[in-house]
Amino acid sequence: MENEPLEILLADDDEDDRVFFKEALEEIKVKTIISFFEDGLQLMNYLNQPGVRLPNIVFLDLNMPIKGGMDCLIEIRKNNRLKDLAIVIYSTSSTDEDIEEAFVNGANIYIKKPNDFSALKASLTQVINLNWQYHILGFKKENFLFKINHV
Amino acid sequence: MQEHLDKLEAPYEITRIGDIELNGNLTPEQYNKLKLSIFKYGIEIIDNPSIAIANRIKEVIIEMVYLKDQLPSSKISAYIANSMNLSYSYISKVFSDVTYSSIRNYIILQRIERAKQLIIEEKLSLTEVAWKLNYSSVAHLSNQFKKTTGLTPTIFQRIIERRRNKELNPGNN
Amino acid sequence: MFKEMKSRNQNLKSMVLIAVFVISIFALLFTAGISYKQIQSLSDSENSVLHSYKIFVELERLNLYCATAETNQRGYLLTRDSTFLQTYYNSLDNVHQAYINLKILIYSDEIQSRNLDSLHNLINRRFYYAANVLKKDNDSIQTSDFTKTLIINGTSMMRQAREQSGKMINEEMRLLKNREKAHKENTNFSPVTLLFTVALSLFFFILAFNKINQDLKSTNKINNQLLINNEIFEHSEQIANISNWCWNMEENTLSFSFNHYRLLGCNPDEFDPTIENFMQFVHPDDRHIVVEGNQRALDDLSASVSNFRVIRKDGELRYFNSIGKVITDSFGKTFIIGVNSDITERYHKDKMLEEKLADLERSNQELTAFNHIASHDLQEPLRKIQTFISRIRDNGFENLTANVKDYFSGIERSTLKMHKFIEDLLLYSRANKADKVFEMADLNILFENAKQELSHLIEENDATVISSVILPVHQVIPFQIQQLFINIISNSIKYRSANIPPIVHINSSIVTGAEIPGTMADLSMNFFKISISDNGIGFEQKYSEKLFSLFYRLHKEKEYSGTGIGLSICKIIVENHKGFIFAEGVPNIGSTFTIYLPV
Repeated sequence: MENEPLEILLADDDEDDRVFFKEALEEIKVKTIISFFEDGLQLMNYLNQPGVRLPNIVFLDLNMPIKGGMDCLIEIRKNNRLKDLAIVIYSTSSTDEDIEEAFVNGANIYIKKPNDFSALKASLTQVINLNWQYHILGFKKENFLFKINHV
Repeated sequence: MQEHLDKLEAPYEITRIGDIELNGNLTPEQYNKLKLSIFKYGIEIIDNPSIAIANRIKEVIIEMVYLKDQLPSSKISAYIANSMNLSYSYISKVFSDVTYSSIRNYIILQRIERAKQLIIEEKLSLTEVAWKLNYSSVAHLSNQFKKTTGLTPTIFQRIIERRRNKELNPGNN
Repeated sequence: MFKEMKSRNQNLKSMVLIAVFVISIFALLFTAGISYKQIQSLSDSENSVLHSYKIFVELERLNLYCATAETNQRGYLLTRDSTFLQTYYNSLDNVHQAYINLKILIYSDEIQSRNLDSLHNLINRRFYYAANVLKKDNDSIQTSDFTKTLIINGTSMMRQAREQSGKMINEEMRLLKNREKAHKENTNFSPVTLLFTVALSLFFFILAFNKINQDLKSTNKINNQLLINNEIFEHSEQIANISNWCWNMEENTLSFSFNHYRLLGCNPDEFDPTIENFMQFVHPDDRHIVVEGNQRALDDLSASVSNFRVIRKDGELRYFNSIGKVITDSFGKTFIIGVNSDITERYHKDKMLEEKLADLERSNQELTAFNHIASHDLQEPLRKIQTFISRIRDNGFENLTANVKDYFSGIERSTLKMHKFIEDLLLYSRANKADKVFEMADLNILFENAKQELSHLIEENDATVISSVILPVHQVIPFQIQQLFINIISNSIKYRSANIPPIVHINSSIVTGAEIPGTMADLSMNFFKISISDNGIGFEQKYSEKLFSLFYRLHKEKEYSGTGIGLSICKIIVENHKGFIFAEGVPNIGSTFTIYLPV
């Protein structure tokens, strides 16, 4: 297990969701550094800074003003420097089309925002574990595709 | 490895393929030197014996999943425990401490990863994959696939296919 | 092919007719020939009879002349009257003449010729004696003995001659008898042949008459039928607002049915049937369509359809549909025949329908979008509420007063209910969506998927969900059938009896439409019958139909929580597949839901 804290980014325009996210991560016994962004544009501006430290995991909400999660996803995957980031789509929508679209565009994990705090914790734990496993256990990044739906 | 150990004049013995046992401890100097020199090759020295055990378990499992194609997980755990001369409860605790995942989970994960590999690279049908990985039926494979990844193998196939098409035709979506 | 058969038939018929005609002519000629021959032989036999009588007459004459000669000779000898002598010599001439005649008559008959020769010989000798007597007489009257001898010889000659004559007469009588017999036969036979000829002719006449009569009758019948058909045809055209036209390519003439004129608002035959006159009625912008349509028929030799506008005589705009086709008749002539229909009413109706459909689709889309967005947008705040609730549950619930705890639980329940409701509404609108894609799907897989989705519910209730047969593979909307299974199975588990673990059992078979209760099913079709039965609390059969109504619930919210939407979703799904769903329940025993899907 890494001794260094996990660097996590979340782009979500909803304040309550950001609070839930933060509190859930705090309750999970993993050291994390969380950065929040209110829309996709803010996120991309941050990531595109030269010399910025790349995060371990990026969480993207799909429905954001100005620039939505799908656009960010596509942009990140196109960017040579950023294309290997682990990306989690974190969204309320759970239509099959959106989910498949997200994966096709390069998302690694898709989480439907749960309506229960414990489920949220479980989902985030699973994300972190999976990321760790893929990183350390040497699984192929191309096959890193999971849909998480705890209730 | 032999080269470097020789250079450091450290006594060692090759016990198994891929296994070198040091007959005695290295001095801190030797240790650091070794660490630096083999780091160039991307080899890290793992100090923690737990980690070593965990790795060992992983290796055995990988071996089984990829090479031997025999995978009833209960027997594996017993087998691993036996082969390392340690109790099953001990190694499972070590494993989960180190990897944050149970042995059973890891086995399933490995299997599913292999399934993904077979589906994508060797383009085998689901029936063939289920057969190769010793699932009792395609339904069994699909079930476990879905449970582990949240997606059915068919949808997974489709996503990979669509990803490939995107790479070939970047204009389309 | 049909035409070929017909003309071959006709050829055959006329060939038979000619053959029969020829045969009957030959037969008549033949019998006529025989009749003629018969008459000939009749005449011949009569002649030969006459011939015999002539011979008799001539023989008698000969005898007579001989007798006369003798008598006259004796007379002369007695009286020395020269008249006697003259007559004697005349008689000798007559005898000779008679002999010549006989000779001619008897010429062909050998026996009689010989007989005649003998007779002639005898007569000659007789009269040789007679001549000698006369000569002697002239010289002297003595030697009466010599004369006597001469006379006696002469007499004996005469007697022989008479005998010979008699012989000849007998012979001739014999011949006559045969000839008379033959003659009689002929006379008897002649009428028979004549009669036979007449009868045969009559027979052929009657035959011919019959045939002509029959043909006439059938022609009349056909003509009659044609007239009737024509009438019906005319009426049909009027009723159906169609008309037909025929263009004779060889002679370049056009003919219109009566209704053709009427469709254009004119009276039948009001104007000459020509292309130009017709074109006057076609809308100027569409005239080229008519021309092209005809050209297409000519080029492709298949039916060519065109639609164009027509301005009737009364000025009204009508929409016409015309189908033209090139045909070749049994004589090899080409025609273009066509049917025009006045489809104005249908055109307007179709247009109206189209507009209504577009409206409907639009409102449907709006409704679906509304449904979707509403449910979706409602879910967001609900989710947050539920998350906040779970936060409070984990953290601070204990510190609430008892009352507040209750209120809080109430909030929890309500939000859960609301969540379920919105979920079900979303499912309902999904089931109703217009784009329903059918694909071949294995119902076993859909069943397994349903079980997986309900795995929590199944585990919690210690339920057993099994299938006793292999379910069929069928053309369905997969996600809908899966939802169907989910809804019914979850109902079966939810409405369980308190102490007995729920057992849900699925079965399937193939039945005919006749087995489906109610008469709605097509009896000739086959259906998959899928029944899902459980051992839950059941229900009273009288509610079996209302169960599927939207928002209808049989139980109070306190006893069993539910939205009342699940089964109506099932009904819509089954209807999307053109099938049927029925529910049977026995209170406290269990329920069975039976789904019929057309094969």
